[in-house]
Amino acid sequence: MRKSLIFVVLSVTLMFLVSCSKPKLEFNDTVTDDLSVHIDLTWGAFSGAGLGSDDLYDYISERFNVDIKMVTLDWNERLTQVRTWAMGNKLPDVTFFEMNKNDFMDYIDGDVIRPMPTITEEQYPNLYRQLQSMKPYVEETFVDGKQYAWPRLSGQNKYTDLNLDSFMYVYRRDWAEELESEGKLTFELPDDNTFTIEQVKELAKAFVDNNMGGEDTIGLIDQDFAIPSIIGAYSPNGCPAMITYVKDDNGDYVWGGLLDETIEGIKEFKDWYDQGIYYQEFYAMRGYDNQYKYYASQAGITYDNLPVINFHYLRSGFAQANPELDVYKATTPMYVKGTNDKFWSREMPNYWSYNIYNGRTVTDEKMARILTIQDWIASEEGTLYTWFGIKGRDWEYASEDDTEDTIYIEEFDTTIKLMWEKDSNGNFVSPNYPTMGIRNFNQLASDFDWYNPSIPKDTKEAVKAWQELRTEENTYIVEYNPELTLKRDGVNYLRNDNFFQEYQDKLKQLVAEDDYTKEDVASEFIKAFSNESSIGKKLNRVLNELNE
Amino acid sequence: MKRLRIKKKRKKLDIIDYIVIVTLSLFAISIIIPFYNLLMVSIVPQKVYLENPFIMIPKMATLANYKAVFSDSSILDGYLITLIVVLVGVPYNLFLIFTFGYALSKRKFWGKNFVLNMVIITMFFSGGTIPYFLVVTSLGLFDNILALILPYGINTFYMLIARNFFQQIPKSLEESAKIDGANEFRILWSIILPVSRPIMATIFLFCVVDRWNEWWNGLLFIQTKELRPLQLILRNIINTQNFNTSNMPPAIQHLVFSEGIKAANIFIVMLPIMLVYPFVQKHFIKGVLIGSIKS
Repeated sequence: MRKSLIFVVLSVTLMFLVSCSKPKLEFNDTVTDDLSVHIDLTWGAFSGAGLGSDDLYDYISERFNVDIKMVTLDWNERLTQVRTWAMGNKLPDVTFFEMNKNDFMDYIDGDVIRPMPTITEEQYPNLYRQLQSMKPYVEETFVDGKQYAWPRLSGQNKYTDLNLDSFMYVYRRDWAEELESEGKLTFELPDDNTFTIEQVKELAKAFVDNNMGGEDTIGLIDQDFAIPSIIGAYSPNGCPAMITYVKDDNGDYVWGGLLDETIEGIKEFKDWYDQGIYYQEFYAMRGYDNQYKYYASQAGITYDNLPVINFHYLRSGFAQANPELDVYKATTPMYVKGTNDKFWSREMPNYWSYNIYNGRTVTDEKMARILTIQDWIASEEGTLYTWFGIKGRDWEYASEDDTEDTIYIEEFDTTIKLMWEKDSNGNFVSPNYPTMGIRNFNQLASDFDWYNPSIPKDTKEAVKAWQELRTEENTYIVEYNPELTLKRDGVNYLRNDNFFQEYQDKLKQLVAEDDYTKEDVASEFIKAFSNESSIGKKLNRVLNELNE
Repeated sequence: MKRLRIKKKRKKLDIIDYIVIVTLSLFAISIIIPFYNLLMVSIVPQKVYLENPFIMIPKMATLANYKAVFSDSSILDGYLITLIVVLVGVPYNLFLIFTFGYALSKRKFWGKNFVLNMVIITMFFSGGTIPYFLVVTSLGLFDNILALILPYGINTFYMLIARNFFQQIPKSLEESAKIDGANEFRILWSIILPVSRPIMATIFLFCVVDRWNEWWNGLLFIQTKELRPLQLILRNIINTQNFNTSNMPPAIQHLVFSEGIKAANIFIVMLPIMLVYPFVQKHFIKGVLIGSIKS
């Protein structure tokens, strides 16, 4: 019996050791793409639903001798899906990935993902150009000199060298003008829509006091993720949407939520709430409730993440719900300065999420094909195809005689003539090509928003103005710190991150408490994150790790 | 001869009865109202919804949201897959649950306690997502509709309920069948199951609901979009903030809105279960406690 047991244990151990000692995969960087060989690809992402069912797909499939099968990820469970498939070696050939350094390194060590060949200007000129433009820290995708993930470039910040977030206030200028004409404001409405935080407070209060949206008028309502935005006016580093760790005078990291100026901002937030200026049921909000309240003409000011496409959705939704109103007056951008007389914003990478490539199924030949397609998407031709449709049918290069329906593409210094159908109002109707989502195979599709004929020029100009307005001199920028983002060894940091959720939850609990004064809220908040509390202990562990 | 009529004496309701009636009525209303509101949100245009999301009597009604749902074929694909999973999976579940439960209802056999304990342990502990994934994929079930059917074979809780119920059936029934030469399968099929209708109906309904609500295995094991179950498609729809209306019929584009489309999707997915339940309700009420109480 004993001998049998020993035999079984030894066998199992041996099997385990044998299975662990797989040889490392080798890859050949110099393989060139041979388009005569047919390749089947799988692509795991959110976009591209409907891929394979239209003429644009047929064009791409024939041109690159490829069949692409879409694997749609579930947004809420994307991390679980990708991790599980990675552990089981069932990743699609090309998969969406959000950088988590621990997972990334594990995948590399386990040959779950493979490196890309070196992107050279000669072989992949468009990808090379994109790679040079990516900032601030594309080096995070390189390990031992090899690139293991492709960052997907955003075209959002087209009109600024600063890569800032797109959060913006929007307000009912029509209401504000009405109040101004009745002498109910102590300041003159600025023509350039630039306000101080004190003016925003007065305006929001005036909306509420004068029932501009009926009995339940809301002065200010934030998008759920950004609650509460006004803390940013006092402490950008301590604003929940931008909460981060900053170095004090001794060079040690401290948490932005406990800075003195953040506590001042929290007290001010309580004051807004107690005066009825801030949405009274903010603690129960979910998702885009702020937009629904705005569409319903209940809210006077809202704060949301508004790149071009999102601002377009906001305006479209408002116009659909209020066809009798001037949508541009009712959704006017509001540029707000904080107590330091500066706008506040956060530096973002100009890319978001990555492509990773399956180390077991993506051969060198397949990799070459993938990069050929990616390079084409980033090229002038690929860009025009994925933006506008098929050449000769949906668009054509403009001749000198063409004066109508032309669009100048700044990136490629070329002009096209759009041949889309028009509706009864003369507006362009986008051709129905679900495969246009293939742009996300290489990069984010937000660059198209600037040229999308379906988006009114005024909406694009408003977002452009917000980008151009903010400079390094007039904006407090919460800088992107790669040291914080890429920490691999910090177990506590990776587990707890920046305590955004705890921060927001505690604020919701304290501020809504009717019996609490501003001072009570501030002291309870500090207590909640102090050394004696459970959250405080976790925070201290993270700070100790960062300051090692 | 005069027929004797016995008048039933009506019980006089006292204050306690009224309190119970009112409490249960309020409870019932609190359950019905969300369903009703969901239906209302699905049939109103956005303007009506925005005035007040809590709708009792809509000012206007439209089927635009339902038309938008059915303009996308993915919901119909999901229906087909889930229907297959239910039609194949439920008999598979019932077969395993009742045979296993019947076997464990026997008084004595070698290893019975060990097997029973192993089964009970699985109610409290599992190997985790990754080992589960690896086991199922090692069986060649990845991206296969069978991954939605085979892994979920026995629900141990239902099996224990069935086992407890079988233990209450008089042994004399089995013994007389054995005397007549019946084997165990024959006894199960001809004697045990016919007297177990209440518990069968209960477990049948539980299994149907479980299969209908299946999405987790779809999330892990299915990559082909045509094989995605209905609930997974519904999740994707609910997670979508802004719907691309350009693919929808032009006549309804201005009428549809995100919350309305979501409400319509949820209602369409819920409807089959709501239609099935009344037919098994009689047995469900009898059976829901039978298997869990030992006489």
